[in-house]
Amino acid sequence: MAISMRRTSTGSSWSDLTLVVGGLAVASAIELAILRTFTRTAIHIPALNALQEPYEVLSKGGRYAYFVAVALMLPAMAMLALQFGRRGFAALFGVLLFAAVAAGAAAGVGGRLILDWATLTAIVVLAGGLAIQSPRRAAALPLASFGLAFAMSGAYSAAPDFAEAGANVEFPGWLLDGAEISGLAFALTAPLIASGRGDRAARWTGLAIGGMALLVFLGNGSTSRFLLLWNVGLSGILPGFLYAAAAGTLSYTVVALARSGRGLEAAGLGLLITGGIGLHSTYQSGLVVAGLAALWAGTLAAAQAGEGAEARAETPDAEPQQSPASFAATS
Amino acid sequence: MLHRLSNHRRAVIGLVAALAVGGLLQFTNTNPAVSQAQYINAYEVSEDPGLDPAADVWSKIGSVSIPLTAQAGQYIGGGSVTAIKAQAVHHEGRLYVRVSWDDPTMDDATTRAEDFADAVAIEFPANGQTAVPSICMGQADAAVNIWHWRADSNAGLKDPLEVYTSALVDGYPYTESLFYTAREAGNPFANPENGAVQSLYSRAFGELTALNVQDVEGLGTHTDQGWAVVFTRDFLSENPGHASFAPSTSVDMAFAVWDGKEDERNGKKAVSQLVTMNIGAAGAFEEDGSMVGTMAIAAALLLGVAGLGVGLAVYGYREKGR
Repeated sequence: MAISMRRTSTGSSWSDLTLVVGGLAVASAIELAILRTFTRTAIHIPALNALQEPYEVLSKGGRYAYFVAVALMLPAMAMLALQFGRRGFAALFGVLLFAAVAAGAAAGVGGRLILDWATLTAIVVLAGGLAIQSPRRAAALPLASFGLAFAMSGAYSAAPDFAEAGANVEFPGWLLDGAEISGLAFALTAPLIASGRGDRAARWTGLAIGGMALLVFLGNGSTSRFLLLWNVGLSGILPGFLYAAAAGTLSYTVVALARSGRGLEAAGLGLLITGGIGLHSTYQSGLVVAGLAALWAGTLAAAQAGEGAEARAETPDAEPQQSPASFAATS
Repeated sequence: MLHRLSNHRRAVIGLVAALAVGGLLQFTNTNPAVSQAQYINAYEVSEDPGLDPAADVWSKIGSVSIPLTAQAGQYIGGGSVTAIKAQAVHHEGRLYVRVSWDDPTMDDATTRAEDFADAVAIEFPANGQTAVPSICMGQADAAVNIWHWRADSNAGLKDPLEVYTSALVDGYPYTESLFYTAREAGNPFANPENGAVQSLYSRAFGELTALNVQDVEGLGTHTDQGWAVVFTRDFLSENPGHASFAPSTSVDMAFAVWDGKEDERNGKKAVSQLVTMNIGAAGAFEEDGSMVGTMAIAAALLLGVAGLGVGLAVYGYREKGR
């Protein structure tokens, strides 16, 4: 695939960031396709025993993609954290809060109460802050919807954590319905993030993926819903065509962002898809945190690029701005 | 392409390093990620809960609501029950799991061919498994042990005349099992005295089979709120194919529910994803009872941290306006 670059003198740091975050998105997408999807549905393959060897090779490949994604997560988060200035203190706060509790949990420090609720706080702060900061008002809708869906689903499943403090807490079941609706709202309104920049390739990709998803839902609705629940945290209680449309709009948005020079945001959105909604593991939560931080960094860069252009327009004799916003590496 | 990548030497080196580190992590099986999946705490209790779903102990411990999704299989439908509540305790080396769900109708008779019974099942990895099995009846290298409770077995055999009121039987002189073929063949649904729960084993679709040793007990009761069913079994079971439990360990489990009123049976049901059961070594109840102080501190901390984050977001938004 082609790489198109808008270069400035300090552009390489953004491009490096896009490559690393993009690498994380690709590794997690491979892991999602093989480890979380193929190996869970392979039992449908007739005579799987005869195909045991290729199955195991593929399964190990998926597991390798998982470990590569885990290895990439730390440098990606560190690089993202370094991008945030005063406007991104909340993003920095969210990334550091999650990194601290996830590292603590890996080391066996802190219980689920701290881990789960700090994760939810970090993600709500990142999604909410991003929605507030977004230069395009309409883009706030999908971003806020994602944060709301994650918060409702996560809070519901994290309620038993309060048993660590000796309390029996149970949240109402409508939180799950709310998470389902908000999660779908995020996906269906995701094109607002790309703000109508999609070209023909994006539209065809969206139609193809959405069409394929519709066929899968019509052909084997139960397995599709299983995968929805296991992979992205949605239980599939709404009509299948809505989920198919959501798959189409999400893939349209990723391609539209990538092809309009917003590779970092495309990778960020991809990470939200592979991370899913709700609490599954610190790996998947980390994908979501990295995805939101990437979207935030992309938004900040775009805003700085816009301000730089405005400044140059106002002072035509001035030296060219040393804008860092040259992140536009798309692949 | 390569020329362009050479402009990003640091990123390329980082990506190559990640590929190497990923291989190392896989080779050493070092997984730094921690599960945040839904879980159930099975605490030790001092009183024996028994098989009664209304026993006091269940009202003293919290329940976990677990969402279900539809499995339709070859039939249209399934998934009419959208969530179950699960609780678990252990007492003197015996595990007790209570499952309850909303179901206004009690479908506990399968006398007619068109009737189907309400049912619930719990799936565990069979003992000796190193991999997490596929939730769909296990997989070749990771079998599952399924505890299956059915309302018709729970209710016992019913007289066909209850549903076929116009039927007339002239007489059937034989009382020996030999002349009741299903009973003689060991069909568990013709032998309800063996219990309402079957312990099953599977490694794939179509391989579901009853285990030789049936050591799981269960009892269900139906109220206006729906069904509540208690399953129980000793922790230790040396029999092949049975699930294993021990204090201070965790085990994966999944749930399935059938609503007979909706003609749900076999693969037409509602299923959960895998959740984790933590079998606690500690008791369920605090000595001093109230934890209001701890909860208040936790809530204040949470609100404080969230408030800090929101404040930073607002600060950033104002910075944008300058």
